[in-house]
Amino acid sequence: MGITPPVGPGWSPPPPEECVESDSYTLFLTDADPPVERVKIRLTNGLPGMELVDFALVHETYYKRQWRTVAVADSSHDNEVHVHQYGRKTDRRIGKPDHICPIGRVADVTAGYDLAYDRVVSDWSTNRRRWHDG
Amino acid sequence: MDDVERAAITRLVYRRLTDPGFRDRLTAKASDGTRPIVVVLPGDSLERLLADVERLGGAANVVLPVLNGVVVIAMAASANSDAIDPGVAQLTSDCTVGLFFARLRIDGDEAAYRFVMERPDHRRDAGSAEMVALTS
Repeated sequence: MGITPPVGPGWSPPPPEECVESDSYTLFLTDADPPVERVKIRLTNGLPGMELVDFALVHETYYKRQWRTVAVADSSHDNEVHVHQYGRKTDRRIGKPDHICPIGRVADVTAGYDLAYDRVVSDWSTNRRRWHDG
Repeated sequence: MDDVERAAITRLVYRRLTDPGFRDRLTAKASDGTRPIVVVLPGDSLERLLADVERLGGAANVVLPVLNGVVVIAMAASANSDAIDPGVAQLTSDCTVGLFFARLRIDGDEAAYRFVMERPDHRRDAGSAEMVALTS
């Protein structure tokens, strides 16, 4: 039986055996046919309370017949939620991660998930331009 | 106004994805294994929705606002109407999503239809859709 993740500095997601991981859900950002901009969402809930303990949002753009990563927001490390920007030329992360919020307790993951919407979904066109120039 | 409402519902669905109980209601899975989400408004064109479901991989979780929340309709659509039992109801697709939802409520939680589309080039085409879940 799992327990609710501890509160305080150094918080990290519980081990996989104490979690439930979601399928991948997809939001499409434009009406283009075929689709060219999408955000894939994966979430992990902790047992037994099913709080959100981890997530990843991945903005992808369809470019030259391939889905390419533009930006990734996640809560997986460094006790914070942040956004990684990617560059078109290298397909790698560019620059330092953009800090969204610290994670000191499990509720911060949900707060960070909500804030990540603004940075990845609402600001998708800005991220797309940055990716193209990067 | 429609764009504002659509954006607000999209954000609501995004927030509710944190709830595994809500995720369980998003049963439609596209051919690539992902679960597409499409937010629609009652006044949207059904023909446009069917085209969207097809372009997103043949299946989508369609979220529609109703009086006290949203309903999720798991839809599958295909341009190949031969795969559908010829005995199913035939609907014209030049109606709104709101009217389509009203029909679904009459027909029950699982329904299959054959749709007839009138294309701009006057070529009649057929598609199909199946509602496999209705939750609020």
